[in-house]
Amino acid sequence: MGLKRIQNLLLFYKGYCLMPIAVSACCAWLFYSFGDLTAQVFTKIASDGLLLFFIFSFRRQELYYYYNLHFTKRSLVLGYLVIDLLVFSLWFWLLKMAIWLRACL
Amino acid sequence: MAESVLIAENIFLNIGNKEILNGCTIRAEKGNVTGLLGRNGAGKSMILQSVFGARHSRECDVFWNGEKMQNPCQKVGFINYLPQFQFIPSHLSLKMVSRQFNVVISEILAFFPEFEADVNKCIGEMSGGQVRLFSVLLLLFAETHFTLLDEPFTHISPLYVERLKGLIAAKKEQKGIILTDHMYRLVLEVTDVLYLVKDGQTTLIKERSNLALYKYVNEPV
Repeated sequence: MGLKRIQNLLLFYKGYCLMPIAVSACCAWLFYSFGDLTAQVFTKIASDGLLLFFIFSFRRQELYYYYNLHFTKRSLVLGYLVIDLLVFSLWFWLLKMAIWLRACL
Repeated sequence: MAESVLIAENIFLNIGNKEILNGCTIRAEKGNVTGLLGRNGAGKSMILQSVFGARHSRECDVFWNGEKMQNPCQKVGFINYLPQFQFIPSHLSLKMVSRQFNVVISEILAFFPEFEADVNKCIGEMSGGQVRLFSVLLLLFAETHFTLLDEPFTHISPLYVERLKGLIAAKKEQKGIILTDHMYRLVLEVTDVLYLVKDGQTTLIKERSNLALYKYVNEPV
């Protein structure tokens, strides 16, 4: 996958990123507060499913922009999920680092 | 000039139980502008979407120089498509959009210097007509073998339409263009080959006066 294609996928994610980033942050915080990962993972999967349903049902017109850049529905969904998984993991890592730093201090 | 011919045939499309397209065929080639005319709901946009590959049709065989294309929109540099509606995300700037489509913005500005002041503006900050015009220019300037334009003249002011007609005439030397619009006089002016979409089928119009025979217009044109 070329750099330009990754940039375009990031642009697609950026268009809808507020909710998934917020949900990921909440999930990470809840995990380090209460310790249950299963509920957070299910919350994340459900919120991603809802957002993708919203995009493909109500923002269909903008998808033609990405079709013109040679993406298919499947490649957009896959790209979105991979980027979101990275963001989700990043929040967990950031919180882990914050907790570790607080313990050190 | 290398030959570049697109043939789309056996286009069958149903929406629910309603049969919209029933075995349409169109042919386009570099050096020609192909026009589609038809009443509202005849299926012109559906044909373009099926050829582009974004709409799942029951059947649609697209051939480029005799080679069958499985997913036309996935092949880099083959085809692009202007839908009827605004499709560029409103948070992107003209400059960024041009870069993503590998279009040199100065080429657009050479034809339409009016965009000079808007280059760094976001799409959402521009008027509907400006966005429409920019979308048409973007796809015409993008390096593809074919460009499909669904209502390229709609929402565009008369002076710009005149220049756009000139641009389409110039660009057809580099790529095949298929367009449809309800402003049929403009379509007749820019097209070399004309199809009428009626009753789910396409008919090649050899004599423009036949449009009245097919009851597309009242008076012969």
